[in-house]
Amino acid sequence: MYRNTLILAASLIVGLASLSANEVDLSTLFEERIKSVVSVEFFIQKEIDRESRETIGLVLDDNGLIILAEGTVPSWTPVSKFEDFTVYIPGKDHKGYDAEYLGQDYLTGWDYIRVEEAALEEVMAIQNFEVAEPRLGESIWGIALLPKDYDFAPGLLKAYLGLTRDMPHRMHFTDQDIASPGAPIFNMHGDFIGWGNQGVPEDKIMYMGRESYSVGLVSPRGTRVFHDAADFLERAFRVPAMVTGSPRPWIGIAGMQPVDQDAAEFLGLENQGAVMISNVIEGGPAAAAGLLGRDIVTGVDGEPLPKFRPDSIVLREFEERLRKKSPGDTVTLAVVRGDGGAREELSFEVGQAPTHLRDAPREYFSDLGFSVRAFTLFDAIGRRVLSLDYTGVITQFVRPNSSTASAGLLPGDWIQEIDGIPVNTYDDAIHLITTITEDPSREEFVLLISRNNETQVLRVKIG
Amino acid sequence: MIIQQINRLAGLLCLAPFFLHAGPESNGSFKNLLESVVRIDVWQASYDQGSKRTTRGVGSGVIMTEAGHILTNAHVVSPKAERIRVTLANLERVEANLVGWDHWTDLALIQLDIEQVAERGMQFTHAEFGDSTILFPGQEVFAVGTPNGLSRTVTKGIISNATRYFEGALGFGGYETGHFNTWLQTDAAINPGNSGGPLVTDDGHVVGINTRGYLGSNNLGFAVPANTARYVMYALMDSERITRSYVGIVPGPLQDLEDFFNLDVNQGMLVNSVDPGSPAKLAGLRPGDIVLSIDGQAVDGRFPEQLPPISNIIASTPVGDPIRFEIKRGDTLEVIEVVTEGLESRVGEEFAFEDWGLSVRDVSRAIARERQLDNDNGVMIIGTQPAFPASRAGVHPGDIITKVNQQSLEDLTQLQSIYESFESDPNKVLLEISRNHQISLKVMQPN
Repeated sequence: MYRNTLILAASLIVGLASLSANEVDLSTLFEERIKSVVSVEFFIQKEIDRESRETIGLVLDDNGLIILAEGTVPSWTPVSKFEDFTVYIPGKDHKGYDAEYLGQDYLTGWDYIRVEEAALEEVMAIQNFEVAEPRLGESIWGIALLPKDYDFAPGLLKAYLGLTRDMPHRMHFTDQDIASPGAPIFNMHGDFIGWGNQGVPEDKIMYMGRESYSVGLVSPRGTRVFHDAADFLERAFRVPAMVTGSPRPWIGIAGMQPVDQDAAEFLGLENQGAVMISNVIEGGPAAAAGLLGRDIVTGVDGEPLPKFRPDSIVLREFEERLRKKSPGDTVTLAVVRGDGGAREELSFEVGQAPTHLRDAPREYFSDLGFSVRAFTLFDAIGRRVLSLDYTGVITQFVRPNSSTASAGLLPGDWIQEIDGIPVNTYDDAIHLITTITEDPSREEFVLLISRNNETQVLRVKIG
Repeated sequence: MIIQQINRLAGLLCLAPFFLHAGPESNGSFKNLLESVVRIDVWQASYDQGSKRTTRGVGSGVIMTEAGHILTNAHVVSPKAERIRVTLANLERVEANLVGWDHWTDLALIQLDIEQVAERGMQFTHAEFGDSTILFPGQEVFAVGTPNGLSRTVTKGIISNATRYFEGALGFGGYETGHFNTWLQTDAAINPGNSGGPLVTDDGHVVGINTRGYLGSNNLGFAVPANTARYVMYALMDSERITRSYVGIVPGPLQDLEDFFNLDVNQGMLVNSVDPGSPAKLAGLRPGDIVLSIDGQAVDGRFPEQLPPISNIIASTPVGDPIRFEIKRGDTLEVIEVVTEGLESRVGEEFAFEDWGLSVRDVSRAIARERQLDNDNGVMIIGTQPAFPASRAGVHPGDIITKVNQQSLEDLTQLQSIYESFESDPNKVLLEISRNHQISLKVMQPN
């Protein structure tokens, strides 16, 4: 009895001791580790509007390479529109440091900047900390930043690990907010265990009077989901070689849909993933190799696609396997023919993607109040042109109450003729419009545009 | 001589009050008109929720013949009507049957059940058409009908505009309306339930069929002109439907574009768009072409209001006949001959497969062109019933079913026969659907 009490007391003391050690430790750990986090501000200069954006960066290396929170830099906006990237040290009243945008990796969708040298003393790369794999139920902590008027003051969030899932990359879920999106998460020893994902909507039911609605709520400054540190670091250093126009692998397929479990069973494809290819782009590598619309892909390079839940994750896995290729590599697709169910293997060379929407050249004609950009494959698929043989340009922007707006031109209109002259290329369009704007005697011009698969003749009165 | 002149003057003076002040109340033909206007109660099938349901509506109509033909709106009575009950002006109720309908003009023709009328010795009268082409803005008109269920309501106003044009109007339920006619605009109060009732002059002549009003605005009502209604009525009496021709050009007004196209004013019609795969497209007509004449008849499409009559010239050509379009393209003149095909509605036949909880509509050629589908095969889903096989399989309204059990699906009839075998032996069904051109596979499991 006496002995038992003694043991209990001893264990209590040990417990208290470890608790207080942790507490001391945590604030020290926090002070060291907040140096890996910065706040980043930048601007998007559009034709007439200017937008400011705020995001969080994680310092990756000792030379000021910073990765930005997922999804905070629009992937369709041309790089030339981004201006004035500024890095702020959390909690410091300082004008900030200049940074340069390095581009977006097409595999992960992650964006990078490099901050000027003067900032290097104030930051600490995440690489300098140990990496660990968190365990279910383990208490962990992360960093959250307050808004700009608080000088982005950093705070500490604590939670426990509730779930780990491969989607296909390993993601961890906590019981409550663990960090701001883009900020790091650590265990109680200070080991780096993950990178805050963008917030995932939480299902809630909202009652208003007698009505109830199901809503998804996202917290803008905190997330309960994070990328596993080891998996993150493996992919985090894919900094684009060029800020624009990095050559991307491409095979020329569109409209991929996961084959759900019931349908897979019907087709005799149990226990594996499968992806339906809706369309094949004429003139692309897959079409040349004989892939057809409605073919179902079941494997890449001899490896079957794994089964995932929800079904949509198999699509991510499939796309990632293709994106990991380089133009010129060979890819082998295991295919179940949509018509008849014959199984085939198609091997072919991966091509290079045509100009991406983000890299499409564009020009704003302020006198006429509109901007045009080159027609891209993205536009083609949206307009059911399933080949690389496309012409015309896209109306990118129309200034309200400008002469083009008065003529009825809308953003997204596909310009096919200018003054009755077919527009074959982007250069044709720029040449024709410039000629019009430079001729002071011109009073009007006429556009033939296509909108919702119907054409219209629009007359633009100049001035 | 003088007396004669005085007599003549007196005669004129006697007549004058009649023209200036004779209200409809003092006028027998107006009373006759009031007796010709009926209330129409309709029970119609609806298929849009994954099952067949019955909806009920109230509208108006006007008896136009001795045989009891009643003109009303296509959006009041459609071929989906299961029961039509007419309330005559004398408050007697009698059943009626659909004779034909034409959503392009939003008109339908029904007929009183004449046997029932004879059996019960019922009396009715009929109204007369007036000439809608001589109406002028400011002219006094009356609307008669059943607004919000209030039978035999008369409202008064004027013609606000005699040739109102609505561009590219889609009418009720996705049906196209107003391509071949302009509208009479009136400020006589028109409310829901007035639909199908007559717009009349003070002598009781029907000059329009009240069709629509702007909700939330004051006194902006629209009627189908009587001249259109008369044509449609006799055509429907003749053959239950109106056959029109289609070539696939979308006209546009030429106003302000004459200089660019180097044209004299009041000449030609602009081809704004040519439907992909249409006869006009195949014959080589192009957007931006100017049609100078149609079968030798010069056309003038300078203003939007002038376009419906031109479209009507094309529509009135017998199906399968060639039409000669004299066109101007740049500086060259050309004659292009286009063989017409039958005009078809966007809205195909509908059906509900109740065991699947699935309502579908046949894919029409127009929908296939609009949505850039490869062809008009397949059926489009218009509704699903929650917790039934279709909704559990994850299909949505707007999806197009292109294959069933890995066999291409042609049309609704084919799906109906597949459904029959499902009813006798419920089994899993594999659907291939196209949603925004993305193909996916869905399995319906029996409930």
